[in-house]
Amino acid sequence: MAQPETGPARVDPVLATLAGLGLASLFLLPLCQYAANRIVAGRDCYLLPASRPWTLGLMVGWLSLAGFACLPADLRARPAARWAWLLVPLPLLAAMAGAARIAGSLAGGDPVARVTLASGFWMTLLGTLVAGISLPSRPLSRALVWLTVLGLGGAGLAAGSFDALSLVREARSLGPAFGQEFVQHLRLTGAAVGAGTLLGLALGILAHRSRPWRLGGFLTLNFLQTVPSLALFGLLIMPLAWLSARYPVLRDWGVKGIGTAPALIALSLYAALPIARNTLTALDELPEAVLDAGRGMGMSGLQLGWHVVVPLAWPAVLAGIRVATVQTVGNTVVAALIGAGGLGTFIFQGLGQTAMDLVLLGTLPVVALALAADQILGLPARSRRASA
Amino acid sequence: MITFEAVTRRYGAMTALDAVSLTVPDHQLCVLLGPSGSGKSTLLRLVNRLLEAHAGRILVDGRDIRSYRAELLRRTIGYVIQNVGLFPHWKVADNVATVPRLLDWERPRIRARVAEVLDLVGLPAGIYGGRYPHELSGGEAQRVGVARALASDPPILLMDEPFSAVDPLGRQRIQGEFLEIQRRLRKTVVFVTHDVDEAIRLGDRIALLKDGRLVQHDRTEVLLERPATPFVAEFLGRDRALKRLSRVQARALARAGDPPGSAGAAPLAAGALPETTDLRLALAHFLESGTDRVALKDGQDGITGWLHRQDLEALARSGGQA
Amino acid sequence: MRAAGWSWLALSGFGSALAALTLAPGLWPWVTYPRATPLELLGGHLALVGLSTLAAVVAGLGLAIAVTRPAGRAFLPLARTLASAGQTFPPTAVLILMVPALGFGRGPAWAALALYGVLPVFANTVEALLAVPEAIREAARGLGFRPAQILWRVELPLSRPLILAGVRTSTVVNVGTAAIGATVGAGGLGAPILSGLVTQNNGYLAEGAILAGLLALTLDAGFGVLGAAGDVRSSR
Repeated sequence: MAQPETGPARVDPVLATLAGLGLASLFLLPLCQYAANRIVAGRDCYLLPASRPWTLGLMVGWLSLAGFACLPADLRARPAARWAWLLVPLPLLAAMAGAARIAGSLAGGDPVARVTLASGFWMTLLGTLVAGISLPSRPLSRALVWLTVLGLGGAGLAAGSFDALSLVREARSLGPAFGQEFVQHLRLTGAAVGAGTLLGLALGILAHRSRPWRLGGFLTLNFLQTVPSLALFGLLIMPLAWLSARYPVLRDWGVKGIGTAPALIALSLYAALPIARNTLTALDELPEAVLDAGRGMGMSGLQLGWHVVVPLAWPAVLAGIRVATVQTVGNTVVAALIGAGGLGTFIFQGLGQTAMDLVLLGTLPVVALALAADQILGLPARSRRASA
Repeated sequence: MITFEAVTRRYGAMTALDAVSLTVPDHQLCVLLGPSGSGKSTLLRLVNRLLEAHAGRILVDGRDIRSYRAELLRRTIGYVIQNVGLFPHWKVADNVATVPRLLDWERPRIRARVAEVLDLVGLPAGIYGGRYPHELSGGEAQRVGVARALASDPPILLMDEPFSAVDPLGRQRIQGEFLEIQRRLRKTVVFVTHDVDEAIRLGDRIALLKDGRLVQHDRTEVLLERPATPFVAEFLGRDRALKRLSRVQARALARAGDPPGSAGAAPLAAGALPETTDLRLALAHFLESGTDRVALKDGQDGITGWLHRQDLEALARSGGQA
Repeated sequence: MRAAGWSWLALSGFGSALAALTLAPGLWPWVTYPRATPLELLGGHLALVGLSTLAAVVAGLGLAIAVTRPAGRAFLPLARTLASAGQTFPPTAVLILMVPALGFGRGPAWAALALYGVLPVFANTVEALLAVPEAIREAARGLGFRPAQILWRVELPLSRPLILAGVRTSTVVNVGTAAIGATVGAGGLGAPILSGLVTQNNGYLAEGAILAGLLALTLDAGFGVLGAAGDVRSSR
C-alpha cells in the first residue's frame, strides 16, 4: 500500500487555486458590457475603477477563502471551521451588487441602452458554486445560506435594483409568456417522467419475471435511446400527422402532427429506460433469503410486496427516476422545436434573433431546474448515506 | 548479504521501526516474525525501497541501496506478496517473463527461462503457460507468483506473507515445495510471517520483532532452546520443545543395527517410518503405538537404522527454559 | 459471446442501411433535401462528432490520469463532484451557451461537444483506474516497473472496458447534440430536420431523422463489437 508522507500540514490546493483564480478574474475579466443600443458593439466594464465598495467585497471574499486554504490542515478539519462556509457567497453577492450598481449608473434612465453580464460575473458564479462544493459543511447550514442568497437576490429583483440589466428588462418585456412557458416546461417534464415511470416500472417488473421481455424490452428501449432526440421527435411527427388526418377525433384531443403529442411520447420513452433498468436491477438483487423469510412467516404476496420488496427496491428506483428527470428537463428543450412549448421556445427564438438575453432567459432556468431536480430527488439517498 | 544499520521509520508521530540493526547472511532463509504492527512488513519493504528509511541505512553486499536507482534495484530482487498481484490481462507465461523483459533479455532466453522456472514450481509451462490468472486456483496463482520472482534468477528473494492466503492444506504443500526449491537454489531469502509454525518450518534464522524493535535474532534452534525474553518464549509457544523436535529428522538420531532382544518385533517394513520424518511426528507415533523403538526406512523401503524413544526424549529435555 | 453476436448483427444491419441511403440516394424518392447530398450531410456530421470525441477522449483520459496520480490526488474529490454535476447539465444547454461566448458556426458546436464529451470519459476512466487492485500495483512496483510503465502496461489495459464504455456514451450523446447543432449554424444532419420542420416538408424531415438515427445506432453497435472483442478475460 502506497504510504503517504505525513509531513507538516499543507495548504489546501483546491481552495487556494480557486481563490487565486477568483482574484485573477476580478482584475482581468469584465463584470459587465455596456452598449448604447442593440446595434452597437459593447464595451467592457470592469468592477475595479467603478464601484469601490463592491470591489472590496469581492476581494475580501476571495482573500478570506485563500486565507482559509492556507490554514494548517488540523485547524481546517475542526468542526468550528464549518463556519467558513459563510465566506462562500460573499464574492457572488458583491458581484451581483456591483453589477446592479454599474448597470444603474450607466443605463439607469436610458431604456435603449443595454448592460449585459459578462465573463467576470459568470466566472464568479462558477467559482462560488465550486467553492461551495469544496468546503465541508452541514446540509442544513448550506441550504440556509443558499436560501438567504436567493432571498436577497429576489428582494433586489422585486425592489428594482437589477432593472437596468438587459437580462431583467428582457424578462419584463416578455411578461406573462415567461411564466407560461416555464409552467409548460414543468408540465411536459412532469407528464413525461410520470408516464415514463409507469412504463419503466411495468417493463422492469416484466423483465424480471420473464426472459423474452428482458431481452426484447431493453433492446427496444436501448434502440430508442440511442436515436437522437431531435430525430425521434421528427420520426414521430409523420405517423402522428397521418393518424390525426385519418381519425379526426384525435385532433379534438389536441393530437396533431407537431405539438405536444409526439414530444410527450418521445420524452416518456426516453424517461422509461433509466427507470426500467434500475427497477430490474433492484428486483434482481433482492436477497432471496429475505423473501424466503417473509414467505416462511406467512406473508401473502401483497404483504411481501409492500413490506419487503418496495422498501428494498425503492432507493434504486428513485435513483432511476432522478436520472430520468434530469435527462427529461434537457430533452424537453428540444421539444420546443416541434411546437410543444417550454423554455426551449425562448432559446431558439433568441438564437434566431441573435438576442443573447433571450437565450439566457431560456437556458439558465433549464440548468437551474436540472440541478434542482438532481439535488431534491437525491436528498433521500444522501441523508441515508449520512446517517448510515 | 543484507545489512540493516540502525534503521528507523516513522508514520507521523508513531515509530514503525526503531533503530533496527540486523544482518541476513547469504544463502539463508531469515524469517521476520512478530505480531501485527511489529514492523516486519515495513522492514522488508525497505530492502527494495518500496519504502524509504528515515534514519540509518541498508547495505546489500556492502553497497548502500540508495546508491542504485530504485527501479533498477527492484529488478534484481525477487518480490512475492500475499495477494500475488498477477497481471490479469497477461497469460501466466507473460507474467513470469515480466522482469526478464524489463531487463531486455533475448526472446529465446526468456522463453527457456520461463519454462524452466514454471517447471521448478510444479506448473509445467506447456499446460499452464497459456492460461490466464483468473483460471488458476489460489495455490497455483501463488506458485506463479514465486516463479515470477525467480525468473531473473535474483540472488535475493523478499516474501511478504506469501502463503497466508492459501487454504491450510495447500499451504502445507506449498511450504514443503518451497523448502525443496530453497534447498536447491539456496537464495538469500527474507520471509515475513506471523505464523510461528511456518517460521519454524521454513526459517534457518528468525528475527523476532515487537513494536518496531528487534527482540531476538538467531538461528531457529537457538531461539527455540534459549528464548531471550519471556515475550519470545510466549510468542514461540509453550510447546516449544515439540517445535524444536519438528525441525529434526529421525535419521539424525538413528542408531544402526538390530536392538538386542527385540522379541516379538512386528514385520519390520510395515511398522517402519520414513527416515526423513520429523521427530514430532515420530513422537506421535510412539505415543500411539506404545512402543519405544521404531525402524527407519529409506525411499526403497530398505531399513537404514532404528530410532529410540529415549534418545528423542533426551533431545527434547536438553533445551533450556526462559 | 452472445453480446458480440448481437453487436455484429446490429452493426451490419444498421451499417448497411446507412450505406444504402448515403451511397445510393437516387433509390429513395423521399431523399430530396436540396442543399447537400446525404453523403455530404453524413460526412459533415461525422467530422463534427469524430473530432470532438477525439478531443474529449484525449482531455478526459489526461485529466483522469492526472487526478489519480499522487501529485493530483488532492483534486480528485472535486473533479468527481464536478463531473457528476456536469452530467446533470443538459447537453443542449452547453451547446447553446457556447453562442454568447464563441458565436455561431461549427467551432462553437465542436467546443460544446468536446466539453460535454469529456465528462463520461473522465468519470469512467477515474472509476476504472481507482478499481485496479492495489496488490497488482504493488507487485508491479516491486518487480521494478517505472510509474509510467505501470500506467501504460498495467493500469490502462485493465481499465480498457470501462474507458470504452465512456467513449461509447460520449459518442452517442454527441451525435444527438450535434444534430441540434444545426440551430447554431453547425450544419450536419440536423439541418434537413430543422428545414423540414420549418417548411413542413416531411421528406426533408424523414431524410435527416433516419440518417441521424442510423448513424447513432451504427456507431453504438460498432462500440458494442469493440467492447465484446476485448472482453476475453475477467480480472482477479
